[in-house]
Amino acid sequence: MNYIYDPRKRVRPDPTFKAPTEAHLDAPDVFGVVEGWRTWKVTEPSFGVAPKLYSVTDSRYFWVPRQRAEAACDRFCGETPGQLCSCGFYSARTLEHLLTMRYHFYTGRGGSWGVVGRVANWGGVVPGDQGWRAQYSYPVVLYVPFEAARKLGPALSETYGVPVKMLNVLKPRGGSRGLF
Amino acid sequence: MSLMPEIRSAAAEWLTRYLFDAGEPVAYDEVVGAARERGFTLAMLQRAADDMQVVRAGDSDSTWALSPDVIAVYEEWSDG
Repeated sequence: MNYIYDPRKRVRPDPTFKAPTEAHLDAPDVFGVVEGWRTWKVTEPSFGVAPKLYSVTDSRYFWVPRQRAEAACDRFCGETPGQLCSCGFYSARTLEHLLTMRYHFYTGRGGSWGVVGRVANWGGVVPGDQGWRAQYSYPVVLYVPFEAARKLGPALSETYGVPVKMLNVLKPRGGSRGLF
Repeated sequence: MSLMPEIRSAAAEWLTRYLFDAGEPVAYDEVVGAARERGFTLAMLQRAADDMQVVRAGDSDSTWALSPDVIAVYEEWSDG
């Protein structure tokens, strides 16, 4: 991803922000949104610090709670996402495709987990073969590992203002029902 | 004990679904028996119970149940 990390965003959640909902994804033409799937890294909250959704490709960047994520281009391509650039927020078209990229793998060591989610993309959206690059994005539903649900679920839901569900993303897919 | 993440996750998922579907506290021996039928060892089951912070009650923790907050978070995931 090519976006500029803006540390000022750290402390500026928008108090008037309303997170997009599944209803927005169910009527994409009405709301002008495109559904995608993403993975984040999340560390268990400690000492009352809210958990954050960190980029899996840029460990400095996290999605600010209750504020749309806005992409910027560090190549100054003029528009974000640029048609001929690689900037913007990436998301996969389907969960199945997202999981083939293996960004979601985690060990749980150090309280670090892989979290996947359905996101709403809007503004400028550039389609790709398997997903999108978007100007604005925000999670609609987050899926946390079962074994991390108690520690992450309520805190993430409260922090980002979106529903959180449990999902075993490490379970082999493609017809298999799992290891056990 | 350190479990492979895939096994830890599978055990946690199985135990959550099992206790949720039961809808009421389940006898410990019954849980262990069902887990073994699915191929989970006692160590895997204990780790899953710790991860999910299963509510143990009765004499010698003889019954297991999901905590209300796990039940609140739980929603059935369909593979479609």
